[in-house]
Amino acid sequence: MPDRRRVIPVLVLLSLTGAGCTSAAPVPAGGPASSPASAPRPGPAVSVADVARAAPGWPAPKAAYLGRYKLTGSSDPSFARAGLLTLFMRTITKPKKMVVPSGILSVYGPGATSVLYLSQFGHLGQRGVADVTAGLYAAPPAGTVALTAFTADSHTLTLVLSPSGGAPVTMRFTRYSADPHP
Amino acid sequence: MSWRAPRALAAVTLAALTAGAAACTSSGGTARSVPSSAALLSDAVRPGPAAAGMTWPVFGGGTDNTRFSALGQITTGNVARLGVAWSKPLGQFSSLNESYPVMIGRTVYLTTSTDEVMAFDAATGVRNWSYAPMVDFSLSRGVGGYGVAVNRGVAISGGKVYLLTFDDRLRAVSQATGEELWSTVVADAHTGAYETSAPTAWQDLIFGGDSGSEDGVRGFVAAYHAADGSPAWRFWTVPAPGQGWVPKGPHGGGTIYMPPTIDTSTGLLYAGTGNPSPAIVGVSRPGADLYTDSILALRARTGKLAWYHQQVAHDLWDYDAAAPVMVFNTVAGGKPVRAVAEAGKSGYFFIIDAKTGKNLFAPVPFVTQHHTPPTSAGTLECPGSQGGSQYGPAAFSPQTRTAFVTGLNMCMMLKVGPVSPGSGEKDFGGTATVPPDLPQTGTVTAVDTTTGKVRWHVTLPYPMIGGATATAGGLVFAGDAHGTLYAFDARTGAIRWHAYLGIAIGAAPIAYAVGGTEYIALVAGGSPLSANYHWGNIGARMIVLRLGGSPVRPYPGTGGPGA
Repeated sequence: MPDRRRVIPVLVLLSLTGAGCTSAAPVPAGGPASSPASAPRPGPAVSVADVARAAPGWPAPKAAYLGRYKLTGSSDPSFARAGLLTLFMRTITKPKKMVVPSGILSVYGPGATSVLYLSQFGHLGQRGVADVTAGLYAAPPAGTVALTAFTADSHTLTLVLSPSGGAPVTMRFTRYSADPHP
Repeated sequence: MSWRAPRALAAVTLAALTAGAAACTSSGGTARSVPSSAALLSDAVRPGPAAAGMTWPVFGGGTDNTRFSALGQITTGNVARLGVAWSKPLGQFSSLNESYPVMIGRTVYLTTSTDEVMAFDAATGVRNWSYAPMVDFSLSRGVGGYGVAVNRGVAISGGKVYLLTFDDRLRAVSQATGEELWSTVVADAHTGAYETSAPTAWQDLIFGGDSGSEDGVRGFVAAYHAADGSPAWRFWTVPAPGQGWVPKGPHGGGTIYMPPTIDTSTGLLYAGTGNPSPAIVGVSRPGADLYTDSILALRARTGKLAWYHQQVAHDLWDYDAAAPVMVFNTVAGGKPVRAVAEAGKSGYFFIIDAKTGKNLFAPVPFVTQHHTPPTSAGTLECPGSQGGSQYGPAAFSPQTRTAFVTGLNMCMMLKVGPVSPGSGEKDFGGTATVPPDLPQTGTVTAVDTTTGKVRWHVTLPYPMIGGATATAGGLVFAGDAHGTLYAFDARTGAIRWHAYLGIAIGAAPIAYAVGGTEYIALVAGGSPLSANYHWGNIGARMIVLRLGGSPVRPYPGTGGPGA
């Protein structure tokens, strides 16, 4: 078995803009197109330690969060000029069987796609937080997200993604379906 | 024909390291004394449909999918000098990778698990272009919501790069620029269907299937017109729900996980099919459950069935025939014969007459075998549903008529009942777990295709998932789920070189040459399987090796449960 103490996860930061010829991202089947991204103001970032000390669960009733969202604004279009977010409940078995908040965040830049898994949801006051992993839910955190604002009437939330060792990216999402399942 | 899995324990025999095969010949030079391009190729093997030459233009090297390169510069005698030519990380968050690159001209094309395509200069590693389609990774009912996706590669033909994406689309992009030319829906994601395989290109057609047997998806093999993706034909591998043996409701099976193989000499297409569903409960699906766990031979132009060979009738163990099929010339009973072969999740390697679909030899076990029908109390099965040969392709050397099979020696406890919460396998029919005190090892087995006997067999400390690649230099390259790449002596199985790359390996290398230098290239990253079992770090990196390259050092991954 691998030595769990020896290898420290390191994120390799790639330039997302120097990719030579790139193609435009088409509209996905089954989901609406993202409108041109208007940059939301950067919000406060949270650390993995912040997530660890957060109270479990959503900061508001889960029905206010669950569903499918599209990206409507990004502070860094070179990383996220379009995006999809699904917030849903997932059954886990460890440390015990329970249903927990989860998410899939897909962001599309020019020439690069990032698919991130959101788990360990909690809240610090009215601010929701979660760990971010790449590849699968059980991977070590590659960063965090903070849900810095949620307006129930407009079904809009602002999400700050803080990659480990990278600059935060603020993204605004609008919910287009309260059903997380396509 | 069918073959029922034996119920008795049958340990794999460690074969004597006989060296009765013809010695490998190679005219290769070294990186210091650069030979002419022609001298890179072995005198014994010239590139043709069955063997890759200077390039690696299709998934399996040649159209026969034998993953054999005629390059012979890197040999058993000098492989110790292998080092890094170049390497590139594939993205800030790119993680897990089961991509099998192709190389044409002097460009390497590969995919990522998020359905990107990247084109690199094969000698320098400069990225020429990338293509990042906007794929909805939560769309599929089967894996969506649990979200683990992979993409195993592209097919290139007529100036177009073709790929199948997780959202059930066939896409074509410009080979020169990466610009998307068109995309078309080929399956219904709302049924749980998704795509993992590279497509196959031949003449004016593109071939593929769909994935998701454990979710109750109904499998198919299909052909599409290369010009626009419009359908040419479709062969359903199992009946529709409520018809034949398939129960009513969201059930099916027989899906396709790896690219079909075309025998260009006969126009036959070969494809391996997945398990029936429910996967480990057979009471509601009587009979053999055709055409699951089978090798299908279809007329490539029409999709008409020529023959089938079912590896496991009425499967109760999730024993897909998922790995790609290879086609080659060998000898059986003293007579030349065209053969097809495939290593199944059952842990058996099958060598079949390409004309008739009949076994040429008894199936060859390459991992521990022990099977009983699963029960609600739980039964230990060997290999487990995630053992044997998963999707990894075998290789074949025409020099010695030897096939090289990688495997996972891993028994599992199957228990009929509710599925594992969160597994994403809604029609598995129960649970599969690994007893903690049992080994999880890897194997490489060399099988003499003229006798069906094992030439040599080696056991390695970590599972070998991604398959093998053989070269005219007398070497077999394969990587393990911990992150070690090995070069085995094709005649004896001796490890001639190995290096820890730091990132789990879930795919097989390719071999190509540019400017008089032979390169061995692979995408490391690990599979969802290796990540779930903590075998190695996950990540995504293209790594290219050559003689005299810089020393190999472990690369950082994006971390993983084993990090």
